[in-house]
Amino acid sequence: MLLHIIRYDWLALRASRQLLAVLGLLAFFVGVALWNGQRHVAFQRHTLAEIQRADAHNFTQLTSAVRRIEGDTPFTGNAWENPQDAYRAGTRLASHYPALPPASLALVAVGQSDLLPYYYKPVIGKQSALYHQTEIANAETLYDGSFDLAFVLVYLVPLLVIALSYNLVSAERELGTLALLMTSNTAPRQVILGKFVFRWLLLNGALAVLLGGGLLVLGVPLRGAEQALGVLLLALVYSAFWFALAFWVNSRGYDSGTNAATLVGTWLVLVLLVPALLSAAAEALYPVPARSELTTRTRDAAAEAKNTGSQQLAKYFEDHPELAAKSAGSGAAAADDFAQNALQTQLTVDAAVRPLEQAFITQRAQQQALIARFRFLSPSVFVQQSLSAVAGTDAARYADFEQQVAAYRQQFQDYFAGKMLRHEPMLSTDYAQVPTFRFQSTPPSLLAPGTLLNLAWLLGLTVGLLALGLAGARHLRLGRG
Amino acid sequence: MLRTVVVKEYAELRQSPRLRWSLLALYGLFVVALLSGYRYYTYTHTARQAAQEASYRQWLGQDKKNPHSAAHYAFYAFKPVPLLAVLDKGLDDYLGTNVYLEAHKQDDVTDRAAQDAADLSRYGSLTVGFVWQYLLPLAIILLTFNLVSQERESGTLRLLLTTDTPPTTLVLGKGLAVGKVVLGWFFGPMLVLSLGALLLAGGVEETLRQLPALLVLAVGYTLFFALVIALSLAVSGRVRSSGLALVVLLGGWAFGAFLVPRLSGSVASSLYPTPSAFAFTEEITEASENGMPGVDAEKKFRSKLEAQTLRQYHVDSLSQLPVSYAGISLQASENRTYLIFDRFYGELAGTLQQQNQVRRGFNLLSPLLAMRNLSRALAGTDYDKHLDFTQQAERKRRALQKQMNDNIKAHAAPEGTYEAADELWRSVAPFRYQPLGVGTVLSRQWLSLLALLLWAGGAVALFVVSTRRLSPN
Repeated sequence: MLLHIIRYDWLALRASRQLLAVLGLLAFFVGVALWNGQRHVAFQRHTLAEIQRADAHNFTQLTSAVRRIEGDTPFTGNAWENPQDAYRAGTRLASHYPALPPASLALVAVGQSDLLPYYYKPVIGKQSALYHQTEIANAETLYDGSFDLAFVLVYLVPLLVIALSYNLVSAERELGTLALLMTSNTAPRQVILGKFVFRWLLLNGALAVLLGGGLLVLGVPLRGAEQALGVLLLALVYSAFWFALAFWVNSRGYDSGTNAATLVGTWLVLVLLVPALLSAAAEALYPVPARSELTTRTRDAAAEAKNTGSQQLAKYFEDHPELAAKSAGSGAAAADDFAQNALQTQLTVDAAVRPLEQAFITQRAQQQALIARFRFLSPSVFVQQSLSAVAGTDAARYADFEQQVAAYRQQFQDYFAGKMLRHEPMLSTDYAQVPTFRFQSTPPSLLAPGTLLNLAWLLGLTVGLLALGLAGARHLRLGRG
Repeated sequence: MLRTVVVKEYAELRQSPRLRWSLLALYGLFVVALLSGYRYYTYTHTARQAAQEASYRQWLGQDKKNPHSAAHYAFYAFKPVPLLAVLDKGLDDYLGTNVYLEAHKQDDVTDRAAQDAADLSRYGSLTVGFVWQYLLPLAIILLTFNLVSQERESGTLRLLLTTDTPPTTLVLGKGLAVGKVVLGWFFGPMLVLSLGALLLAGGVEETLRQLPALLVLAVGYTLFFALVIALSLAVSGRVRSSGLALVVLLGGWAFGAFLVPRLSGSVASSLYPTPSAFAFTEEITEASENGMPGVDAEKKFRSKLEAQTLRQYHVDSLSQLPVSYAGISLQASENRTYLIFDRFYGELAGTLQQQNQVRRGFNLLSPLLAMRNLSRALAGTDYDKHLDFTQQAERKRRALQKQMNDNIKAHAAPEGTYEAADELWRSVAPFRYQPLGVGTVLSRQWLSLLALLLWAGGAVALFVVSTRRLSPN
């Protein structure tokens, strides 16, 4: 029976311009989105490759510069460019860039990857200085968001679904064919459901072809195949939800205009208003302190550091007793040491602003937790989040990267602080010993518990709407609603 | 006659459940938006002002030291939050908020608030501007889409066309009635409430200062709402059924509100790509060390400067100078880097402005976006204002550095032994941002204004054509 319905619905669809318009738009959207996503990822990959090249070049240069000095050619340049000076090396000359390489399916969702840094240049210095390192971006583009596949799936596909289905029952009624349909042997709701199912299959079939073809053309590696299937699965279930919603709305027997208004209104609420209200609530409940406060406190702490700096250094020695023994020998002369002074100041400042820095992290985590709790209010929210997770561009991954970089900066600082406190010069062999960074992560997966829960909830909603729709379609009204 | 039509349509609209629902939804959202705008302004404005004062206080609190140490210490310039951000905080979350005015280096304006926000904030934030630009047009569409088509569907249009009322008067009456509802029930009261919030947040004096911008904004919005009404009526008159009219209008709304901005963003960034922050910094470092056209390499610059100074003061060695060479060379190297910063930061700002210009060109497709740009610009929460702040801050930095270097130059003393005190720190005035005038803002928004006017003209033309050819079938 279903095949029969599908056959005639296909004929009807083919005859109208509606199908061509919807599929044409879908192809255009997916094409633009993949091109755009690919451009964004290619830019990031290119930048990271440039950085790696420059990084390697810099360390080779430094090593050979020190080797020249060791080979009895004294250093004649500016003091602050002396590659043997551990303080100069740690604050200026010798930093490795920690990088977050884009995941294989990063082109699917730009997520937070256009806003948050994907590489840093950590030096000995304020921890908070890391925050200032951001990629150049047009604020208008950041505000509006990217035209990526996630945008197509979350925002546009529902509109296409609505265009394909808002009047499936009401048009029959308005044309007078509904009465005809009701006289047939088949239950009308079966015919109507068949039409919805067919359109759902058609849309997702087209999407699968476009997405698969697009990814092949763009040369996304097969490693991404599992995730690509995940993206399709999300699209399949999410569009099913919108078709089910349209089915239910249609079954209530209102005219086409009311159906369209109801559906677009629901779209507006789920895609725009729930997220906006939720983020307004998160900001009001867990306000993040002002960054300007951090600037002020840093400077006040630095001014105070002159008095308390030695205490901080004493504390540092408690944590690192191996350094204290060697440093003690240098006696009072050490107090004059510029590098030691600078280090003292900085340890004091770091300690003074730590509670405030922590507040940023906690408040942001609280906001994110609130959103995670209430994400079920809107499928758009969690489908977007799942897509970002599959693409490896979600907030969680960037927060993880930031924390790993902070830990790395500590390691980096400890290395040079050790050198400085022991009054050791940088040797030509030392530059290879400078700690390096490698991002540790599990590859993004669809099988993450959060994503599975999202899918289950979405499926539940869809089934619920279908049941409501089927119940409603049992008593279809022939006249105006 | 027109009067009668307006009275009848207005009475009918007032009865409509659609109006009640729209009012309920829009006022609910408007109140949340206004409250969060008020909260944003009072909180952020106070915090930035406090930080600005603290930074200057820290500058004044410096011990005796060499002015060049002070130049390195310097202070920060914080971008003030404009009062109209209560209504439209525009791009503020995505633009930096402060810049360090240190020696030798033009810094980036850093601290984008969006980086501290949850990922959900990327869906856009609920502001009064959002309610007026996105949601109120939607409400207009819902109130208007079937005003003509329904008359046709129920057969009353045939009757109406037989009377001696011209169809244009008929539809114009409907439009005016909707306009009356929009201004009297939505925009007017909302504007009054907004004014109250502005007075509460910024006080009488500051609110009065913003009055011209607010007035232009009110006129702009009125024009915008009028053109949405005219377009909706034109579509309602042309299209064969109410359902189709609604779908066409909603489709147009979604296109203009969501598709165009993201599309124009990708076109703009592919036409005028920005460099990575890494490449940008590398280029500046490279130019500082090895020079660029018009700027000597560092080493050559130093030897040239030395020779030139000796010649100028007619002495044989730097130690014979009547002034401090440190002061001369510090200022000369500042001057040298100005050329470099002007070029690279200028190019970057140019690229971003070209991108924005492309986007504004696209806004010819969407009056909603043109209105959005105008609103942001008048509120002072757009990129132009940000760039103006950046430039004023950089001018302050240069003035501050010059004051320090001139002071060093005037105090010839053995290398590094000269120390200045309070008096010099106090001679540097605090940074005060001077906002752009409404005229300047409007002249920079000519493309948005053009888009709005073209749409208004187009809407009127469509309206006239559609109503002249009004057919009962």
